[in-house]
Amino acid sequence: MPGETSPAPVEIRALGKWYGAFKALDGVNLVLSRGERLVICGPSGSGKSTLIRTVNALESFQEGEIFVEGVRLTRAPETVKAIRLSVGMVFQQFNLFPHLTVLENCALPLRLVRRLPGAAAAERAMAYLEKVRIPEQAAKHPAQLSGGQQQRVAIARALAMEPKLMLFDEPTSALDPEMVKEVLDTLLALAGEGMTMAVVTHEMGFAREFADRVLFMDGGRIIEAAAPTQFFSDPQQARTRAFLRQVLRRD
Amino acid sequence: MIFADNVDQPPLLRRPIVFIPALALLFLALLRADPANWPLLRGVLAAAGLGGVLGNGLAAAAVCVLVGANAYVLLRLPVRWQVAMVWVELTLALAALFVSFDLSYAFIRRKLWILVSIGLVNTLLISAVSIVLAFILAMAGAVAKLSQNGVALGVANFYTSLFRGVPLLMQIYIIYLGLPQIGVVVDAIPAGVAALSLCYGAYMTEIFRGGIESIPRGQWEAARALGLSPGQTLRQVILPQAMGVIIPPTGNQFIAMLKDSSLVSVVGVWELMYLARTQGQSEFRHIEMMLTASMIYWIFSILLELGQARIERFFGRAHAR
Repeated sequence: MPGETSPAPVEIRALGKWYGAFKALDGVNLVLSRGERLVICGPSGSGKSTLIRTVNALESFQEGEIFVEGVRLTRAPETVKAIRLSVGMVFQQFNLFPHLTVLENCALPLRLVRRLPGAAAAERAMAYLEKVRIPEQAAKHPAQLSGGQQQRVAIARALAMEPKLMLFDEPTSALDPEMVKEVLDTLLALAGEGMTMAVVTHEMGFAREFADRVLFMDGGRIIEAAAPTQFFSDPQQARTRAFLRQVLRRD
Repeated sequence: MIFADNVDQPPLLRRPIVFIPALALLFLALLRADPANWPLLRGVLAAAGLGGVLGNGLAAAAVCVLVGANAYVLLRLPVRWQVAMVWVELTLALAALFVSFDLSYAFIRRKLWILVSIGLVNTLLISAVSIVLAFILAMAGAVAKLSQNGVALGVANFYTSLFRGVPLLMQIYIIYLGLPQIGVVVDAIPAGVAALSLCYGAYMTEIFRGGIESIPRGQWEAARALGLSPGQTLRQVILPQAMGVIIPPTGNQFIAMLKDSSLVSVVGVWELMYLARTQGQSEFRHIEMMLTASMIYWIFSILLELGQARIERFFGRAHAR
């Protein structure tokens, strides 16, 4: 709880968001604890991406409260910056900077935001590229890399900022099937190091292996949240069962 | 170049429906033209004892054969050679036109140094300063137009509307002759530079705005998620990419500005066009001076085009696949 000695990485209380008359998020309550690996799934338009994007203020919200590392999210620039520094984010479309090399992609925010000198920034960027096992691509531009490699660079770029938690917004949805594994393996390796992570994904096999807790959303609400063994073998809600029948048929 | 298909479309000039009527029209036009315009051909025909209608017909036919043969050879060259040949032929044709004006080259030689040392220097100075100022104005205008700030948006809207809507000539007059009415006396060159920068800055504002808007939202989001400030995001992430979109039309604007700087001559600035007009007056050699000035403008436009191509390659490298 906020105010206590060790605040939860993320605490969301009664979160509500409208797009015009459409309610995208409806009374969402969620606590992400330190080191937890959360998977969020649900049909498209269920609000799962919107939910994690509100955490680092990429989306606004009208109701409720969000605390990140005990800091209440407001619209004040200093607050938003502090929260964005403790949250790393990986996007569906990678969103690498195409005019910069792979190394510069990772080093730029270290120089501009963390104020590291150029050499130190490059060194740290290289260390994280080694962590995602693509140091040999450092001098290339993103367009020269495969989708899986680009997404691993995006993960390295976010990790290099040394955030306290990581958000993944459908990190494998834009990838060719044979590249999904290399990205998911990177996430599993990261989980092994105790990183707090929230992953929006449709990869149910991955969710079973990776998650401490699986969250099912529909219509902007959290319908069901359970440990993966229970979530997949004995879902409580009819909508969850219908959803799982749909997606597991593919697997 | 347009993305090429793997089909050999017959060149326009190789299609009979195009080249037969074209040659027929050329023949008819030449038949009606005065053969005195081609003294060399007429001399050859006269020496052969061919005059009158028959001579005209033969001369026209001879020219048509030459034109046809030229096209025949041209169509069988590699693309680079075709481009070079066309440039050579059109330049020669232009030169032939100028030669027919019966110009005084001695006069041009005598006045060239004045045109270059004062006129060209002033033209380049005015253009270069205006280009830099217009660039800054356009950047500020574009950022203002994309901001949520109503005051900035209003100022930017009013600015682009006014300076795109009023003729540049009037802007020069208003700044040079109008501002002294409220006690602001501006010299001719600063007045010209101000008018050119304001006018081109207004046009370029729209170019810059379009360039910035062409960058996907994900780029903004990634930069924000990494903690970059709005200014850092714009300078380090958005603008370097937008430049690829902004440079080609901006190069156009610069070339246009080089020549529009001649409008500043109306307030008596000794730039290229002003000197070309006044120097020609003394000996009624207007055409000589105008043509010389035009060629100087053209040469510098070509230099700008080459510079633009280099910058485009530089900013385009990130998108090469």
